[in-house]
Amino acid sequence: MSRRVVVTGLGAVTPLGNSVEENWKALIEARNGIAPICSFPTHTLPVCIAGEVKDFKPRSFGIHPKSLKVMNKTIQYALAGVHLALGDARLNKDDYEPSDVGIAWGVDGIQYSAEEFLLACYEAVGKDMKNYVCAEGDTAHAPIKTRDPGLAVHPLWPLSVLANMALCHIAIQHNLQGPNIALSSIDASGAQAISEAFKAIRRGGCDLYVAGGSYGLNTMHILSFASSDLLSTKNRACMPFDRERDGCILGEGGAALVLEDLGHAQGRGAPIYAEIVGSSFLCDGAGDRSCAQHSGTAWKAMSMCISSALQDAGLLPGDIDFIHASGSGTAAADSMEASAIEHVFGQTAGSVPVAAGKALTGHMLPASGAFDALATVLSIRDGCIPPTKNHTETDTDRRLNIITKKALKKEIKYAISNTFGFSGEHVALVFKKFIH
Amino acid sequence: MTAHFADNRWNRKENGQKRVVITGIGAVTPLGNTVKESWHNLVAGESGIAPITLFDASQYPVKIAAEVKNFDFDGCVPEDINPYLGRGTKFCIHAVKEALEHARLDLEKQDTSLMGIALGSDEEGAQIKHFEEMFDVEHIRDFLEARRSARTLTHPYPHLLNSKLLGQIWPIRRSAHIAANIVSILFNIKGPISTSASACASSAQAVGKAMRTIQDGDADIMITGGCDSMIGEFHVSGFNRLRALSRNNDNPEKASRPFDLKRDGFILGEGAGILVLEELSHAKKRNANIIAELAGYGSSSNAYRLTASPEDGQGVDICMKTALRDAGCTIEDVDYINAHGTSTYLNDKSETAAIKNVFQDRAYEIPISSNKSMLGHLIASAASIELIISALTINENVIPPTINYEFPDPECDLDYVPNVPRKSQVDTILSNSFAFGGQNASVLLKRFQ
Repeated sequence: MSRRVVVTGLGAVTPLGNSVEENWKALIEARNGIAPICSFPTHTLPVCIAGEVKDFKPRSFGIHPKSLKVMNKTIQYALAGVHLALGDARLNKDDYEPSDVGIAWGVDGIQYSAEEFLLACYEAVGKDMKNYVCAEGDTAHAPIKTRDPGLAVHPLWPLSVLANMALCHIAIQHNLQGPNIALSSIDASGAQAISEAFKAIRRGGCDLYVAGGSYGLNTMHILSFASSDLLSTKNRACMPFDRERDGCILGEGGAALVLEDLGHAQGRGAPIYAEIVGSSFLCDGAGDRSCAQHSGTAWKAMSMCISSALQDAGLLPGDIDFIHASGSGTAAADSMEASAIEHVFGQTAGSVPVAAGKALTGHMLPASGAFDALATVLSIRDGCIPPTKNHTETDTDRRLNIITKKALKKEIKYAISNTFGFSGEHVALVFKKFIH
Repeated sequence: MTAHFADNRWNRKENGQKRVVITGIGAVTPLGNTVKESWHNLVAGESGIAPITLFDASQYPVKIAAEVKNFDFDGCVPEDINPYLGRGTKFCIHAVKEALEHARLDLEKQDTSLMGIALGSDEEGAQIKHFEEMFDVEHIRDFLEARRSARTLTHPYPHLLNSKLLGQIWPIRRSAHIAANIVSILFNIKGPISTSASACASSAQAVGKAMRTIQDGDADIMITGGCDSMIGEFHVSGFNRLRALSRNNDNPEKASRPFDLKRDGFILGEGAGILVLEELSHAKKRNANIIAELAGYGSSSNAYRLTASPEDGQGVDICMKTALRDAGCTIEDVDYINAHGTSTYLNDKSETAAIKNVFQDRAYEIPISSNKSMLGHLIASAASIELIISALTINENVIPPTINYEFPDPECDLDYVPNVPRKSQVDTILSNSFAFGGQNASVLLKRFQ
């Protein structure tokens, strides 16, 4: 008999709030987290709205102000999510043997803006910026010397561009020395991390894992997504599965789950939110070569992903009471996901409730997969499915039962959380109401 | 609570655990563009380190690196995606081809949904020329001034907006995961996929992940390993600022000197190392050539500091112990340790201490060598190339040397196989990788029996 894995702690900071309950309330009430971008000027960007984390106070998540110099936002949100999740799971530093707690963390590989990059390059070489910043003879514009102390980047700053730094800061802050893996993908890595933690505990390598993903909003991604036609240009939040959807809106945040072996959780009297019973992560070998768009056959890989997660859990499609969809709001992605759901669930596709949260938070890239899993767990706990905001009319040929307007009260035994990545990396996680 | 852990930990070597073997290898390194060539030069004790040619390094404090030479960049990828892909990804595709050929795998005949990819990589090394094409001087000036005076930008991002180029190549196509994605597309692989980006331990973690994926029954075959190319102004200066790089610019081939008293940092390198892992019964069924068995894996964190590992090896030793336990081996079984051995003062000292923590008195009897003395530090691809070398060590019964070992360091007093290769029967190898930030991974390799 393989080991059972349960969720015993949740933590999230997102555009919807800086605690799990705030987030959950906003999801149920469909309170919007998308707004004009405040953290950097945007008037020449193609898209000026996003879901930003608001009123973020690093100190309240155990982050020392001195450390902020070497922490980009991705790292800060990771620390915040983990701090909340470990607290929620009632785990203090003294309660665990450091080498017994594992970490699986997902981020995107690029974590700096183009300007930061340039500054670091020039500063390192000690190049006088004169040649670069003003025309010859232009005395009004004095040259800028990059050795100017006011301009200096912190000597450790280059470290923050490495994709494993979020994980390392988590390990240091909470003294976690156990097994670990830092995953990177444009948007699936948060869910991949949860899948990895689940499989590691079930396999028996470790009893306790903290897993999740984080992302800090960055101009690089806005430009890149916009030029790949992934962003909505109507300057309004995304509309998952709606007929008029035209792209996603970016968001930022961090979400973490504490996963634990059942016996271990019971042994220490931990609160149990739900059980995780299956997962699948795979790729769409026939993906688009741009690595940014779904191919026309992407639904095949998506349905394969859902099916193998169900198989991993030993379930049939009929057992599933709720689908937390990826629903990123781009024309291709949602239509592929809808096809995949219809393919797997067949006749019952029209009756299983489907919801997507990205209309409220924006697409938080790697953090989204983890946050969607977190929301799914809360849906199971409370028997409540949050509505999909901005969805008014489904494509005419679709049979999906998308929950709109207001939250649906429903006892949920099994739920699936989909994360379908733009670059063809897909993850599905199956959760179950915890019954002794 | 701790007591509870003790009950059910590490008893997973129960009946029927799947065995994982290596059936194909491929590599692009500073010592050669194939496994054969790299191995040949490695056992000859050659150095792949030379002055930097990828950018003008004349004003940089570090002017040397281990670059891949004479590589056919255009020949290895389809034309339509060629401009989008960085050096590392191209090395990767080349090495995957070599490894699949070596494994005699005909993908047309395989169920590619039971074939997966787990790669370790980093973002593509950016060179400043890529960015200069995209920015205009006013923008840079404005940014720098705003940064100094903490005012907001007056005309922000105008040229970013106009730069379709930036949007197209960055970051969607330059991020760490792109190598795995492109491999999945070019080779039509549909199974489990993941990219681990943990700096210097990336590909060790990828191999560990691949091994577990096979053991879990999620795939029969995994393409795993790593690729990297970080030789650009940004990373060279970044690592230099951390005081991690050797500045021995006048003697490039002498610059990387792991465990030697006069070591002064590592040398940034580039390359790719790919292994085909296979579930044992699957490999036997198709009569595959089994190179070695991947018997154990372990990972850990130092949870200490971002840039330094603890001098007493605390935390670093956990992953070695875990890998041994995972393989069901004792310290007596290990015949050779393929060290991380970066040639930085702290790493080599800390690794030596950690090896002593784990192996006690036996530490002095085990030959230990660092391939980085010749290859440089290939960051995300380092671990996978060192595993390939370890597999060949088992097959050829030759331990590659640690070159440039001249002045013994009293704090590093183990047997580092100095300067000349050693003929010796080697059946069990522990390969170590430790990353910036304190992520560690060890892989245990065994002669297949």
